[in-house]
Amino acid sequence: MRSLLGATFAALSLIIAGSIAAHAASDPRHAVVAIGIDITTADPHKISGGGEYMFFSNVFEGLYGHDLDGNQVPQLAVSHEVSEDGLVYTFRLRENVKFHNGDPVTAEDVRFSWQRSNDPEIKNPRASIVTKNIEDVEVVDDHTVRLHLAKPDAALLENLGEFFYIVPAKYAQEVGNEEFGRKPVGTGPYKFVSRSIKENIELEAFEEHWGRVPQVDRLTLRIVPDSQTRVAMLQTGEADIAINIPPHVAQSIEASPDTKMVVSPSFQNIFIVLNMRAPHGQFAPTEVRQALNYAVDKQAMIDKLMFGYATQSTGPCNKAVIGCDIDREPYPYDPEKARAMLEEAGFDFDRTYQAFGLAPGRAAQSKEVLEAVAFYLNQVGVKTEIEFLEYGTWLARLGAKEFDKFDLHWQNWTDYNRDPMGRLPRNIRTDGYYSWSSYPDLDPMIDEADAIIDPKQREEHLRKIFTRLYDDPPWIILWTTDNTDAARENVEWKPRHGISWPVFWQLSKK
Amino acid sequence: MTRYIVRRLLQTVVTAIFVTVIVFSLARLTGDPTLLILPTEATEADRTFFRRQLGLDRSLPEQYLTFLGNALRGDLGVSFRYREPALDLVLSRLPATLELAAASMALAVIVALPIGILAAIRRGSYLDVGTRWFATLGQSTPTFWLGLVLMLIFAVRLGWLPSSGRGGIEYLILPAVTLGWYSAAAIARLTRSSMLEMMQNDFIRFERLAGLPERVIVLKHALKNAAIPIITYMALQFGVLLSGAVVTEQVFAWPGLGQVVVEAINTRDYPVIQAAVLVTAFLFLLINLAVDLLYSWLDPRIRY
Repeated sequence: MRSLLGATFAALSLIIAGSIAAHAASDPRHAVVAIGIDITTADPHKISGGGEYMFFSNVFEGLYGHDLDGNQVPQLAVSHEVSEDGLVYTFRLRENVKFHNGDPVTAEDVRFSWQRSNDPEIKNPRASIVTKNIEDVEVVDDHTVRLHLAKPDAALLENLGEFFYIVPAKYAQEVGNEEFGRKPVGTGPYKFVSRSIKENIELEAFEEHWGRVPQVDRLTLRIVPDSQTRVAMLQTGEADIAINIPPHVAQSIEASPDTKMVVSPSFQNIFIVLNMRAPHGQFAPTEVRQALNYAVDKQAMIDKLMFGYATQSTGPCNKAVIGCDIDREPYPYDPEKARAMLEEAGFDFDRTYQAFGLAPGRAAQSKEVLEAVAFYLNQVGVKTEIEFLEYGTWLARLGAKEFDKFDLHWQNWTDYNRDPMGRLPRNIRTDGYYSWSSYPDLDPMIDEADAIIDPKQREEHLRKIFTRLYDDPPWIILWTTDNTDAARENVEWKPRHGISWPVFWQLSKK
Repeated sequence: MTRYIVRRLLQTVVTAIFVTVIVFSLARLTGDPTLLILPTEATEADRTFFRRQLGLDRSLPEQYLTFLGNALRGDLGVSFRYREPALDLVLSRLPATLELAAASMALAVIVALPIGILAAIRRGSYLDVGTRWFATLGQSTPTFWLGLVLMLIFAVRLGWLPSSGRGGIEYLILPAVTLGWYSAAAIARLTRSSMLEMMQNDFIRFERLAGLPERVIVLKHALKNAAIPIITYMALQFGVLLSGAVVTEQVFAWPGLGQVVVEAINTRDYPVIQAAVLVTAFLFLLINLAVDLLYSWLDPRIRY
């Protein structure tokens, strides 16, 4: 027994010594990024969720994309022209651009990528955003391509980056769809090396990139579902960057001399939807919905619940979103005014209002936020009963729209880029899938927005919509959250403004 | 014996079919998977299109029969989420979970058996009191808490072990201790009580009178007779370890079955839920069969 113990102890000591040595090794040419969720596919035409872009925005590119400040910039194209009716876009492609396998990027690849992303066999979940509206892709010459649209789409350029990735026609046809998903080839700053589901994704710098050659040769995306574990990995040096750190953990990151928070504005917005279409009609009057906006102390909630990692807003959008920078200030906290307005509107204080929210785990402090809102509403005499649902059930209930059963709910709205038209039709248009509001005058305005080709004119048009949604709010507007990531002190990394999924080509280690 | 094994295997198949019915229906109770597969911008037409592609527009009995027919041919469908064969996905994760469960079980047995036996033969000693404390505390410590605390101490503070992931044996230690902790406590308690009971038996007293060395009495005669409940319990514990691995795997980013199952349930990935539960159920049934066969070795009075 004693000798067995001795041997076990000796073995353990060896292992421990070995692992310390492994930790101490810190290679400036190799970075490890701990991410929370795995990609579901490595095929850029099968993307279904936002989390996938951790991978795709580093490995693939579209004709246009976004720079680090969130501005729309040409990527595989260098310039474009739009026809007067907004139906024909002509792109001049960047010359001497190569795919990771060495093939040159030509107009033929753009045409193929369009065909592939609309192919029923691919089942592209995001085809409706850009590619389905393209009627034809005409190859003018090797480096000129013309997109013919079915109807005008003013958001086209903004969406080309993430919803119309260009893949190599020759390679994709040679290997077939399944193999392409296993060994994807793109044009991005990093090329795909290997992947182990729910474990890691290995990437390698693409030295021949046209302009964004990474400073770090090897990049490992490690899938670590638990945020505490991501933090631990950062503290031990097993990871250089940890993505998506909940605000309540941020303090321990800030407190350590070896780690730092990396904060950037996001496109995620939190608000409480008020059911304007409830049969009891209590939320129908504009004054009632305005009053509830005065009833909630947003800044206190940001300070205490979000630990400062959010900014009060005037609508469910980051100010950088087109048309969102309206000439209004966030509703101030004024419970007396709220109570007075409710009384004047003849609000029914005897009724208990049914609220539902999202269970913890998916969005930062989702449970605490709805509880705090319920507390503030109670302060002005509005009684609520709240329940929390797991994500799938919550989503189903949003879509089921049982107007007679639920009066208010926690919601978030994340724009994918600076264009709000991904969300407005779904959340505001009366027949929108998640719309609990009804603005007969806004519906046609939302429909028109994509037909206005002149950017200035369109911005003004969208600004009118957002101003109306502030003055006559269908929600209690809370805030725009920050992207909260963390890094080791020796890591230089600037996330992209506004866009939730990070790119890593600009990352460097000292 | 052979007839017994064949009969038991047939029973296993029947149980497995029964499991398929339950799993199939339960998975479908979670709701519409297109809500989670498709982006929130998807239109109703997109959803209908997807439901048809996935065969979800057909009646439930029809879907079940197709599923069963395919399952008998070893085809458990394609993951909605990963678009890989569900069985491949599950089987590729299985070794990691088995490795973790086996290491935890081994650790539990190495720790629990000796202290359980010693506590029984030195009843009332400090060791006995300590064992009982360990049994109570061990069984009441939540896994996710223990995992994080161990990680904080041994990975973050001391830097002795990696915090997460799977690699060499050093990666296995923290998750195995976390997962095995509960089982160790439970097995220690059971060993202690079974041994205590056995040591009171007349035949042990006779052996003592006959002058047999104490070591032989304890390890050969008492322990072998006390082993049946302990082994039964260990077999059941193995099932618990497989399911308990869900939390441990999540905390330590251990790329096993547990993580895949949790995600599959959260995203309503029916084929993966079905494949994972079926594979786990099969494993569990096989372990039970093995234990039943072990009984006859331990107790020659048991014959099949």
